[in-house]
Amino acid sequence: MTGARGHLRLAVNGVVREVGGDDAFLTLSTWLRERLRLVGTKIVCSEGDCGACTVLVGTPALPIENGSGAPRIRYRAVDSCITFLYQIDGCHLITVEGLASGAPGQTELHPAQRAMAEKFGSQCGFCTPGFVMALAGLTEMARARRAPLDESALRVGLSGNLCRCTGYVQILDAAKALDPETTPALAERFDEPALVAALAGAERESVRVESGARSVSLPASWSEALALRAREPQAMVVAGATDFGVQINKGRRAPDSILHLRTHLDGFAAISIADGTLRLGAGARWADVLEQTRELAAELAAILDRFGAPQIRNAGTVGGNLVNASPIADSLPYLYASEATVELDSVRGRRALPIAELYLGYKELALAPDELLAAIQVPLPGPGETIRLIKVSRRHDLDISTFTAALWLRRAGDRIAGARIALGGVGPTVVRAPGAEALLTGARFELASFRAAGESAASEIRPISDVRGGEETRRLLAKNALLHFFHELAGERS
Amino acid sequence: MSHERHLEPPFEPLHDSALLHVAGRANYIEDLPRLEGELTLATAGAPSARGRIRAIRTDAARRVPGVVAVLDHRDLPGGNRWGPVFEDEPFLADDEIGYLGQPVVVVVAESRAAALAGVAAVEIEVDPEPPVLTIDEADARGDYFGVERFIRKGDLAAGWAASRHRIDGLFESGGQEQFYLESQAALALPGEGASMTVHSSTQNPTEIQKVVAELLGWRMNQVVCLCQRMGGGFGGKETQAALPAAFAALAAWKTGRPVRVVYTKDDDMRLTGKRHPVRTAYSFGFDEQGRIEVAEFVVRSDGGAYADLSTAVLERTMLHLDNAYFLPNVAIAARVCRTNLPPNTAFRGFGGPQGMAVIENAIEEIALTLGLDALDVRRANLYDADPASPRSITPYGQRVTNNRLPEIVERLAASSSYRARREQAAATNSAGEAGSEPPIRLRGLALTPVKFGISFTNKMLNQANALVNVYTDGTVQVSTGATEMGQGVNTKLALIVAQELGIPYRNVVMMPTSTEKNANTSPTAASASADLNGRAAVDACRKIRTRLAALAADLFADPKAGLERSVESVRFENNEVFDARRTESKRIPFPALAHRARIERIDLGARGFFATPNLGFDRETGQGTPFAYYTTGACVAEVTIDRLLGGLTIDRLDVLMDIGKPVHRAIELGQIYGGLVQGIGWVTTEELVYDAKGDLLSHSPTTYKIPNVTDLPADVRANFRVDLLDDDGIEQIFRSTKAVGEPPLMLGLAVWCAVKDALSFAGGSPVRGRRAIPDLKLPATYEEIVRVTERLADAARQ
Repeated sequence: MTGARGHLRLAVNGVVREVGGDDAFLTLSTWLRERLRLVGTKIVCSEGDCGACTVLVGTPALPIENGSGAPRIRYRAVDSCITFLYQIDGCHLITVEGLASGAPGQTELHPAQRAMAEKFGSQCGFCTPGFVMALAGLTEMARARRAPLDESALRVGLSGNLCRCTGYVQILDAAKALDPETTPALAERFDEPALVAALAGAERESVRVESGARSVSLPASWSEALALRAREPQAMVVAGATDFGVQINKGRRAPDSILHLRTHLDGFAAISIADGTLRLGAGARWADVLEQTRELAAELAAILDRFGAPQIRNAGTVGGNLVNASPIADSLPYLYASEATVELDSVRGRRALPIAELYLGYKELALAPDELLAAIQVPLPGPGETIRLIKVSRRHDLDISTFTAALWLRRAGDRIAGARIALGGVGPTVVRAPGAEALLTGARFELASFRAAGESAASEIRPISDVRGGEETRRLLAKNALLHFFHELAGERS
Repeated sequence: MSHERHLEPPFEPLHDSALLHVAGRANYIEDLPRLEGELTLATAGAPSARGRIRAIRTDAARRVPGVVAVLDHRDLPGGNRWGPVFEDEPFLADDEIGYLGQPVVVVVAESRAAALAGVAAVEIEVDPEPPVLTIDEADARGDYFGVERFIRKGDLAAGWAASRHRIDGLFESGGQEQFYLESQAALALPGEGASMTVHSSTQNPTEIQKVVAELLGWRMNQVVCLCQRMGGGFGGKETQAALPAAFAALAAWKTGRPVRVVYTKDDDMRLTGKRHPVRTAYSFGFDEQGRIEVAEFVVRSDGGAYADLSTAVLERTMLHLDNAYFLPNVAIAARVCRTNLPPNTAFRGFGGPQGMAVIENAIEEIALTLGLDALDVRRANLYDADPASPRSITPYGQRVTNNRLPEIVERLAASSSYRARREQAAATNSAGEAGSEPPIRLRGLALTPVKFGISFTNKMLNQANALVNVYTDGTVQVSTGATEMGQGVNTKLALIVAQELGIPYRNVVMMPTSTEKNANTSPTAASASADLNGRAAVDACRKIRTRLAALAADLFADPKAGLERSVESVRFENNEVFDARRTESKRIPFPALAHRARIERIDLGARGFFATPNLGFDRETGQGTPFAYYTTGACVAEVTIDRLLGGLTIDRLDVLMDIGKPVHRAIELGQIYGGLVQGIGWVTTEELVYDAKGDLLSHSPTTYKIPNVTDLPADVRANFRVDLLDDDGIEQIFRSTKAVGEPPLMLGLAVWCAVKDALSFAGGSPVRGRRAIPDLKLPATYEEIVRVTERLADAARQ
């Protein structure tokens, strides 16, 4: 990467900063607290499961609705404890300290701050900055989209933040008191044109920050990414870092070299639908997938609403979820049952692979050392075909699955013409249940068929007991999942 | 600023830190500025949960760059045992190991990374033994803390003779992590000579002062403990803030430098105690109407490795096994088991929830046995409202007075349409042809009452002192022993002081809690802090007012106009002082009077004191008056469960509570919402999972699931209704207010009982109808729901 920029360029609360050396590898929360002494951002769990560290990350983007083409900064809420500084190159970071405007002593609180105080949304106060930032992000997004913030949107929007004191009722009061229409845009609190001028275009520059034995590379193009991958196959490929960040924080990983793929790389984050096939670029963030597939793939969207949390979906990517290869990844049963195809790319060329062949064992991938996951193609259900998903977790939201299931069904009159069953959390990888599929195929669409299939599925899997659930429970869930699918589908028919 | 309007009475002021909270400018210990030469520390823990330490090798750790000191039990200047009741817990394990990860060595270093590298280099050699991890194992081994305690009343044999029916069972309730967001934290600053200031995130500064002094072999007057605020406590910082504070103080003394420690959430959850798991064997005898004639309980709690507060917590369990119900003949035997887990400790409710859960489960079982609505069984057994009735006497002999629970239950059942909704739910659950499977989604309803005793059961702790200083500009600083953990005690105390002195709320500032200002204080606990400290603050204010009134009376006296000097006529209102006999003239601004008082050499500061009268409980006989009064309330919960996948939705919550006349309604409602939701977490999703070595697997929010905003009923203001009963005006400890901190947590039992109600319909074909589920555990996790459904379906098939 000759000519690569050797430092990161970003802005915090309106002030542009250049960051190099070891600091580039820090999490945002640590950097904010320890280097900038901005201690309003709290750290509780260091794993993206409480939202206390929520900040807003703004990226200069061309607004679609605005014909002028002038770049604006679009903000999304992320967990700063699992976001690394190198991930926000070219971004404007807003922390709770930057939300209020005006000079010290004469600050005008942001409406989200005022509402939280006035509605008694804070008790001990430790989660409060995170809630304030999540709320500010929600109002900003709602204002930009001219979408109302009703209670259900607010609940989903705040589901990435935990509070132990309030029972959330007065926090929801505060949220409901906010009016996106009258809430000033974040652009008005900062000199947006100056920030855009300083930050826009950063993504078109290659960046490589080195510090001792450590390095992080941010390629400027997909071909550069492939070349880097071939040259440094040992480098850890990082996109949204929502799981990688946890592993770093808990000392489970410490890679020296990192290849960070930014979402703008040619087509890397593209989402498209053509000929009944949904194509998701590996760099697409789940929040964007959710937004663009809500109607086209409602079943997928229903599960994505419970995928991680808003902050996680704002950072995590399709490719990250697939390559992380967890048997309880929320997207995988859907992709297995849809018989999706992954596109793998390298300097040697591109190849396609059925999703089931991507996984060789627990966290083991059929990915060559020089390959990158580029995209996934998902055939959407055609006429007479249907797909259903199940996620079981200890808590409805902001929880990792204990068990997941997908059923793809083709019906012909009273009979089942074809069935695919994918189960997650029951073995080292997501698995199909061929015995159960065979039982269903050709069978009548009735409870007895599904009961038999469920019993077969339960006997086909090799689950383990862990903190999320027992082996027996998981077998029971496999059996019950098929019954559940039947009742759901039968209920729709009647 | 627009929020200024909230700072004037009669508005209820904002939470006194709210504007700092929302701006990210409220400082917690981790946020205090870094100090010159500041160090941090980490602990090396026991590698097994049970066994003996053979050797501790620290040479390699000392050589790690950045490590400044490596300390083990041999470096302790004072004793190596502490504890709030029995002094049985080592600061640093020296021989026998209590639990996995128990601190053995403190590594003090320039940075966290260096401290962790130092910890990794410590070698602790042990002779491991298989750990004791359950109540059953400890009970079988006969390993307990303290003696068995008993409460007995009436004639058991007569009770059994009068009973047409009986149920027997074993009820288990699980532990619960406090999950305060701010983990345990302390900052120790060595002072001149041998002295130390410790900032601690603690509910009990006096305890920290004492423990640090003991650890260092000092006297108490060499240590000051301060607490500005906590990021949540919930009981978890009543005793267990002590170890981090002790380690920081030890390290600061040994190095002469400031030392700060903040536990990671994982360490905090792995190493600190939680709500006690409890196993209770119960037997109930009752008549055809479900009226209880006799009840027997054998209670075993899991105390963990050291006594901590376990015996006191168990005492409160025993005192709440009756909850709101009259038990004519009763025998309770209870004991704390010793296991190889971190010492369990206080958590909101302090054993009360575990006691109430036993009887609320039994009520549901009695109803299932008799085919009655559980509400009717509850009504048949509530303590009588008439205090003279024999059916108003608790198992421990205290009379339940001012009992409004019968009224609360009737009103709530009516306002929530309990009957109609429950019938509708039962009809939905039973829909379909006979012999068909029940619907996937089953609905359940329950109404559960709460009667929670207010006062520390340890009589000594029912005292408080307050320091009120008036300055010559008429502003006031207030210091009490109460610590602010979010519950709003400071806001309430400032309001009380402002009202007492007749001055604006904004002229009163609450100071950080400090053992220098308020000595020999009780922990902020037992829901009693606003009561006790409020009364102490009132006492201080009245002393000052008496002195100022005397001065004002001198100034107002006008014998020529026929006005004799009259202290009784002096009024303090609206930041003014005047003579009630001629309100139209001569008003002295409060600041002017304060200024004048200094000139006249009148003391403008006062210390107030309060001790709750008429308390006394004899734990040897199990009889007495442990409580000043009871806070009561009730909750109706409606839930829907997915019997196949274990999903749980809370459809609606209706609450009616009697908290008397609130000091600050919005803050007290916040306690009700927050307490109830915490209770819901205890009974549904919060589960502590350990492996065979005694390692907590659910040690972070990834795996330990407290309630989320989406767990609330949809359309929350319509479906989560909280009403307060009108004030009865009866004077309690502080005016006619009643304590509110803990009682709402136990309303969460309504959700558990509603789940049980729904599950009782899960039996399915061929026989429809409700079934008993004596083995349903608490929490009713998705796994419990799926497991019980399967068992009921299996039973139905046979």
